[in-house]
Amino acid sequence: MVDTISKILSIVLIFLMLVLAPLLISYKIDDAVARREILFEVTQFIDKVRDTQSVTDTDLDQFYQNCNSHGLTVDVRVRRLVKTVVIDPHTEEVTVEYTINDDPAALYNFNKGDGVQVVVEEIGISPSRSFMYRVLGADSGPLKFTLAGIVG
Amino acid sequence: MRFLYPIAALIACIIFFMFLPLFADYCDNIDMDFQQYKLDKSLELSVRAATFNGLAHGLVSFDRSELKEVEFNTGVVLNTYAQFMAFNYNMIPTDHNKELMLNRTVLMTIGARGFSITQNEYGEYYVAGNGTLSRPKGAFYRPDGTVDRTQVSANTGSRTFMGVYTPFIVKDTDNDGREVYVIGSLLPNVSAFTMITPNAGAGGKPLVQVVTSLPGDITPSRVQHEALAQMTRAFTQAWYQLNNKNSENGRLTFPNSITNLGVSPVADPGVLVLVDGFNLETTRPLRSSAFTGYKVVACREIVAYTETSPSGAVSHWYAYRDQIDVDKALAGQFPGIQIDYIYPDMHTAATVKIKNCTHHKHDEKCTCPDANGNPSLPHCHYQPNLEVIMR
Repeated sequence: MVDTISKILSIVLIFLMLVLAPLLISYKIDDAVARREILFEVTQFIDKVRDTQSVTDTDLDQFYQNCNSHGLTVDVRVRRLVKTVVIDPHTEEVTVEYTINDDPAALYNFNKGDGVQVVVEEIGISPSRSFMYRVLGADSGPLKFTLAGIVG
Repeated sequence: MRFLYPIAALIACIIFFMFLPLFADYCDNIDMDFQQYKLDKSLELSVRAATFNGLAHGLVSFDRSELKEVEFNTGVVLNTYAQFMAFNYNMIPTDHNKELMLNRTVLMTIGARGFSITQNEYGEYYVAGNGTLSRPKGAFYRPDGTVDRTQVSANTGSRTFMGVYTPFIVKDTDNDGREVYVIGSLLPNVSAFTMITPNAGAGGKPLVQVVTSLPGDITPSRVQHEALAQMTRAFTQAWYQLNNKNSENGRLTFPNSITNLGVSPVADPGVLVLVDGFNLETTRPLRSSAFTGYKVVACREIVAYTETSPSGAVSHWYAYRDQIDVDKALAGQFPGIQIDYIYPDMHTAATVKIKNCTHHKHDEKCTCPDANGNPSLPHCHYQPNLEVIMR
């Protein structure tokens, strides 16, 4: 009886250490690379908008495609941050404020000094990943981050 | 032999459970690596935005082209930085969120003709007229500047602001042995300095002069070096005060020349930000510090001009403004040269269409396509004067 339990336990452990562990590590590395690649795409997009001060439909399509070509399915939203300047008439203090404009049409009219914000959110998480994230804690959860930069 | 399997299984179990925390740590490190990179990029983009706006709304009250100097609006730098950090972490930039970001920015310095370092101030609680618990620094200010104790604008408990702007001052003696103070700069190509001589003015007042040649042992490189040293001292002192309970964080220095590791020097005006203990999206605070600088370089303007040769041939040229004595050309001291315009960059100068050029024949002019792809009216473009530009 003890022998049988020991053999079963050994087989389970062998499976865990020789099959599951390398798979998990490989998955973690692939996931980390994909996340980093998407972050890099967003950085490149913000740099491009900063230099050209404009966004075209082609740019956006290419950007969405690039973000979704690294193994993760992500929803990407690009917003314009409209710059306004207010001067206090009493103290003459300058205040620069940014307001988020969600209208996609606003993206075609960037002014120098405006901002661009990109929100990336992973969608379509598989049940196995949900299990790994919620139960095992071996997954870092859905990818969600935001980056914003100035135009000009 | 019968007990060999249980013992082996026990050993395997022990090894397995020993590796579990190692694997958890590995996973955590991978996540932290992503967050670290994200923080670095967020910081870089926020500092870039802050510097851009700080210069765009800079306090320039002198001829920048003469002094080749820049000045930041410190309030705008701080506010823009906080707003963009909030945007970078998907937060609405309310007063509370901006303060949240600034509280994690342990130090920020702005250096140009002087320097300023952030300070954090804690106010004491008080109960406002309407019963709200707040602090004096968060009191509501009416438009006329008086404080309304019945309203509260923010009650975050602390306030981050730029400290007193300290000009870089180098002390020495002039050729007459008098004590002089030169206001320094981080810019390496400054051609004019403000010099103060105490008691040398009318009625014993200080004499303030803008000089192009420096007295005594003061050289432009020494002014720049001492300016950097003053800023380093102040920054390091502030860094020590913040970390007096944590000896792990050591000295910070700003290199004034390229190091063996390729670290760029801090030798130009810019903004430096140090973030530590950032824990907004991580399970533990990011221990490493992110250090980002943004360098300001002087813009070389482009002058566009029309040249008529003695034989009557007309050419439209552009060159860098500092390569042509514009004042002399405007005064007509260069025969056949007419200054048309000064552009901020080469691209703008090259794309300008000279529509009313009557000197060239139509077949020598360009007909670039317009927005609809149709040929535009014949026009000329400014061309680079390579003889001048290559100098």
